[in-house]
Amino acid sequence: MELDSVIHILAGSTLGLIVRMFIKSISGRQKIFTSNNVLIVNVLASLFLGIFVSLNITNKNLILFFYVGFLGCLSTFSSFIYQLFYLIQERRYFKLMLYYTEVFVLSFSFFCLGHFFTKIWIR
Amino acid sequence: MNKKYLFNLLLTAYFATFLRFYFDNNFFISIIGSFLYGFFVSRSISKSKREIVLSGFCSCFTSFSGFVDFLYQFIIQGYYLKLFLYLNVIVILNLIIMYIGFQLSRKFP
Repeated sequence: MELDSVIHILAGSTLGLIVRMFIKSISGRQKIFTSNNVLIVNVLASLFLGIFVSLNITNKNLILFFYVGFLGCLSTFSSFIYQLFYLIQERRYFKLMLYYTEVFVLSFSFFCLGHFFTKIWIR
Repeated sequence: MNKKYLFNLLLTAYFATFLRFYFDNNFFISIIGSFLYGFFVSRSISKSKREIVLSGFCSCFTSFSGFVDFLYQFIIQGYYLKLFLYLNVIVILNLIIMYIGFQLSRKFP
């Protein structure tokens, strides 16, 4: 792997991690976020992914920075699975179904939103 | 947040990102990530070490955006039933793997 690619991945993952930790610290302190930080970062990452996909980026370094580094470190799949696992442990099955649906409906809606508005914007 | 903690968190995140890039298989990555998350979540380790493993490694190793991107391919091709099936099968499989990791961690403290 070239040094240039390594630098782009490192920069993207640093930014993604910082944004995730920032959202985590904000959602823990303030009341403005009614939902939890995992939902927020995943929905935000889906919105960015929608924008990224519709831009049709071919630059390798930009893909490494944004897709591999930034979006990879911003969003988290294992924490989402753990939240579902926790709800099963607590036997809160209704909340589980609600949360599961909420995450995927919001993620795909924001993905489409990002995709749609970027397409209009570039046109 | 002290410097040493931040430094370790970043190093772990970098390691996880490069490992994800190297494997380049969302399904395989999510399975390993869920197993490790389940394994370490029930272990009695310090709060900072837990944060580094869970938030630094597992969260950066597994990627929700990669999962959405993988499912997006089914939307493009119009395979909506396949999308619904894959989505549920992957989540259920990850839950089972996390449960196995969780139980293994309790059996071998």
